[in-house]
Amino acid sequence: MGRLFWKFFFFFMLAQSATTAWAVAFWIRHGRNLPKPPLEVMVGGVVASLAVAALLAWYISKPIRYLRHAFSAAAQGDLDVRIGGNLGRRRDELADLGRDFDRTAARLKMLMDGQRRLLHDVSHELRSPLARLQAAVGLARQDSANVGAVIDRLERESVRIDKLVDELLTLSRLEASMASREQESVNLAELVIEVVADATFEINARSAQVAFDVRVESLHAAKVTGDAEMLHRALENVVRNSVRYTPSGGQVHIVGEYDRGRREVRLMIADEGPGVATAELASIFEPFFRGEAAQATSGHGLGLAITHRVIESHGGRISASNRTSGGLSVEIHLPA
Amino acid sequence: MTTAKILLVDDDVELLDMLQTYLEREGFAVTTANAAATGVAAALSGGYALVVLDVMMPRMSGIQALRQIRTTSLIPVLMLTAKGDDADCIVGLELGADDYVPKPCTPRELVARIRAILRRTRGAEDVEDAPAVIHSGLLKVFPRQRRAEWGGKSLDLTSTEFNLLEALARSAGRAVSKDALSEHALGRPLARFERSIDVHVSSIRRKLGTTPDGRSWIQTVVRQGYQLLAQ
Repeated sequence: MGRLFWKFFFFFMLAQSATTAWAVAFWIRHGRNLPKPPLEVMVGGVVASLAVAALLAWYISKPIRYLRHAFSAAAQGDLDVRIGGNLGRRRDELADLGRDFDRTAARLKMLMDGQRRLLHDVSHELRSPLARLQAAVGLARQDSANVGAVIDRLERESVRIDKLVDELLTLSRLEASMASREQESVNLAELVIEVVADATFEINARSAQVAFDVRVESLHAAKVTGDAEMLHRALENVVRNSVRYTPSGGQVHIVGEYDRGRREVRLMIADEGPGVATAELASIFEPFFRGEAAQATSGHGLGLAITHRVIESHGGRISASNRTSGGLSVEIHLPA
Repeated sequence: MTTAKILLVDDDVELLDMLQTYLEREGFAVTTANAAATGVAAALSGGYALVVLDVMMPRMSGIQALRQIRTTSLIPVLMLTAKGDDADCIVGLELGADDYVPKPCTPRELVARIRAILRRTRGAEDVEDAPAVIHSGLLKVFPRQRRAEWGGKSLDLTSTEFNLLEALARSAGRAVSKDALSEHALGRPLARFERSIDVHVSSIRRKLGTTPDGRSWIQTVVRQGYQLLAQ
């Protein structure tokens, strides 16, 4: 029995003793002509009150002991510990506290696992450009005639690493500052048009042949609240991805709808590329996921993960499906 | 020395291109494959002196590819593994890879490892003065043909395992240090905390079975290395 038990026990006893003492005092003053209470009854009363005090103290201190064990286990890094079953069918503030603990531990574990996985993926992902850098330097050492080409390569790889680091920072900023996000009213239609304009500019610069089919007029009426910069990034990643997989001469379709009844906007971005294997559809929003059709050196699989986090942090959801006519369709729902 | 044919298997096409150029200038004949499946098919088609296999590939990993190669072929395999990922190294060596190089590595390092394995595989320098057969109990090692028999039956050994067994057989009854084994079998000194030799020895142990009284034919000699029991 812990200290807390004895404290409760002592105070319950004190309360009961005070009551008894008051009763005895009352009897001494007013009850002299009343018959004396029999000794057995008095002893029985004392024993019963002791038992009740002990039971009550135990009832309160036991769940607290469980909580303490759970907290100290969590402090040692064991986040698999759960209180749930130990409190039985209890329904009071202490049981709520236990459930809160379970939720906290589960959430922390999820976050920590996510961070660990991300760190593993990042170190893995940084290796590819580094391996290429080392191979390039090796080539230059082998034959100095290579130096020009090698410098181009070094530049390209360092841009890749820079971009990767940039996206990582975005991702970690997203995770760290969900609460302190800028909140403003965002016009999604304008955002889409901006993203499409940027993408068109890039496509022209590469003299590729990809056209846009944009129908987002109904979104002008919808007001989405959130961080415009983050939403811009989120859309940009999806659109870039679609452009990348659309073959020359193909189209990227962007359709927006505002559902006043449900108070949400739906945005569909579809390409005419090879699509994604059905088994892999759910995974494309995970960091560093790379589909079968993807090239080893194109992109690094953080873009869609960032989009996913941004949409979720705005209270929306995102999903992907294959179109019957071929190509991937990404659907975004945001509250408006 | 004829040109050694090397097969490079990696999913990173740009890296493959550069390594191919580098290795060709170093005097190797290089073929590349950018997926595990085509890599396995090429490795099994024969004609290569060595396969360099990247462990980290999408879909079929290098480990799975190695398992498929090893079901039918004893071709020398050099793995490219993630730095710091010891689990991959151990699993790869257990499956019969001959050695590994952590990636990213300099091409010079890669070439050194490839040369070390090829030198050991061909046994070029030893052949002249090597005895025709080393006899120790049930074991017969034929260094010139690079094959070994155990109780009259031929042993399926990878190139590295053969080198280890040969070194142990030459000193049967005496302990051979892990460093000496590493120099002989891998052509390089052992890195600190490295477990390659232990893993290779344990797969040889599996292939030899146990003595009648249940001991392993290759005994661990604490702080000294390994010893092949001389009956």
